[in-house]
Amino acid sequence: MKADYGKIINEAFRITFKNKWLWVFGLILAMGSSGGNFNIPDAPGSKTKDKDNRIETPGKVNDVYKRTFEDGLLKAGSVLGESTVSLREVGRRIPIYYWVVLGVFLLIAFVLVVGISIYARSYAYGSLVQGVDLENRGITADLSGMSKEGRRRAVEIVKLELLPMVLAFVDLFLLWVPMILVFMSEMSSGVKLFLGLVLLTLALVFLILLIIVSVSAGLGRIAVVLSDLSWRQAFKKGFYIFKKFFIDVVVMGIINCFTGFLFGLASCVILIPFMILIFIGIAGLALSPYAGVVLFPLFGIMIVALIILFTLISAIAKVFMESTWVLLYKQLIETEVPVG
Amino acid sequence: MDNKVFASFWLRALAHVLNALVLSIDAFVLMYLVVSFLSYDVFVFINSLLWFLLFAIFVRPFIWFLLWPVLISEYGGDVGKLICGLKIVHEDGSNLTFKRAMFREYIAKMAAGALFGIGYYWIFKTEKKQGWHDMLSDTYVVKEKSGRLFVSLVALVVVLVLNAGLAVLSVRSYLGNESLKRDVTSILEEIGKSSSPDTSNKVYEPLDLKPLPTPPTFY
Repeated sequence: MKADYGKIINEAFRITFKNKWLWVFGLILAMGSSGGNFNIPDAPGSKTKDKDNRIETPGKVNDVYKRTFEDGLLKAGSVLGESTVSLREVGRRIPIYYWVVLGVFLLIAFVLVVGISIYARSYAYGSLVQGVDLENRGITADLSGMSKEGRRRAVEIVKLELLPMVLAFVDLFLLWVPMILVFMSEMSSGVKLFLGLVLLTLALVFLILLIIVSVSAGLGRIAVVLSDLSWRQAFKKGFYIFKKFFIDVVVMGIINCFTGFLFGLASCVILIPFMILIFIGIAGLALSPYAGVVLFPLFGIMIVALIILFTLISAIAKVFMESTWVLLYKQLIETEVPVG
Repeated sequence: MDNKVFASFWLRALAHVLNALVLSIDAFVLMYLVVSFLSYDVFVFINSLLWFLLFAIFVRPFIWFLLWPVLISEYGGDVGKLICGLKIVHEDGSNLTFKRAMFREYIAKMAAGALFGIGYYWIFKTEKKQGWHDMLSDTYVVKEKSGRLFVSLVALVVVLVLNAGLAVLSVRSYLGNESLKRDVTSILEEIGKSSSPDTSNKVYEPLDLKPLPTPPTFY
């Protein structure tokens, strides 16, 4: 192993907390990579369950809810009169071309949003790498200087970002979808098993390839900025470093996984006092409804504070982890010279 | 750039408010649709609403997405800035290119808007009154008449007249829509009854609670 992890972590820590302008790019990265999971838990008796296996509990919450809801609808019907119509009827009357136009616009919106998001992320990566490198060399980087470099390199980094993404799509559509189709088909079980095993083996091989490409592209991203290379040369260099210093890169990945866990833990620790305060507030509300006058604005402030804190922690984590990769890259190429 | 006067935060905020006025036309169109068709002909209403949503969610952002950078690169600012006599310029004093304007509007402002718009606070702090979005895109907002004041004012007046017209039409439609008036009155009465219970002298009767049926066993 060539890498000195203690030195890397100490330096990354120093850089992260010395130049706070780096956090701006961390913020862009944090916003670009965050995403919510809006799946509703598969509750007993929910629509996703098989109707025949659904557990009917008469007189319990479901029923009370159903009755209340139906009563409400009846009342609303009597109030709204001719406005109350079935959704099915409404859906039937919407012209088909509406759905076509909606589909086209949804597609355009999706492509635009994904495009902007990838560009923003690539730009932020470029700027961040430049900033970390300058700080490491003892030069204080300002927002404008880092941004210039990020903008200059963004297109090359976008190409590197797209590479694993395209591979992942190919993997999904050429291997995983056919695998599902094979298992859903009417073929004999022997043929199914054979085809399934072949496809599964291919999928695993593809998965390993995907990991190699992702790591090479990740290191290539740094090479684009630090070694002033095109995306092809940078990818080759990233792959070369990954191959040559496999253990160092894997260990760094594990360290960063652990760092991510620590940052997550810090978020949880911050959340605990807020939760206690919210429980106390709810108890206060139960005792006196008038307490809401004071408590609701307080809850609002607390939620805002939590959002700020979590976004900031996430941004700092991004800066720290990117710094470790940049410093690792610099340490590794100091010992090796070949390019491309 | 040294002889330029940099625009203050409040002037820029005023320009932003004027832009918001231009964008507020959506709210007036929606109000008109609701008042004109709700309860009168629900199918026409839902149909109109769906087209409106399609416009508001997809078409309108797409128009603004292109229009704002075009205005900035061609004239140096959006409607609000042109009316307030402000101009967005590159650090060398030239007009922004379309690409840079796009970058400023959508990516740099994304960073400035993070953490509830902390990046805009820097307009107060820096000598050249630059927010994060200005620093990231190497731009300044300066006080400079662009010669487009008249056109911008006309655009704003047209939008305001349209808004006022839609508001008048909405009031007229509401007054002529007996069905909606009846529904609104009933709903308001229902809300009034449920939100102000006379609890001072009310004697609560004991609830007639029936025992729950035995739950089925699964083993």
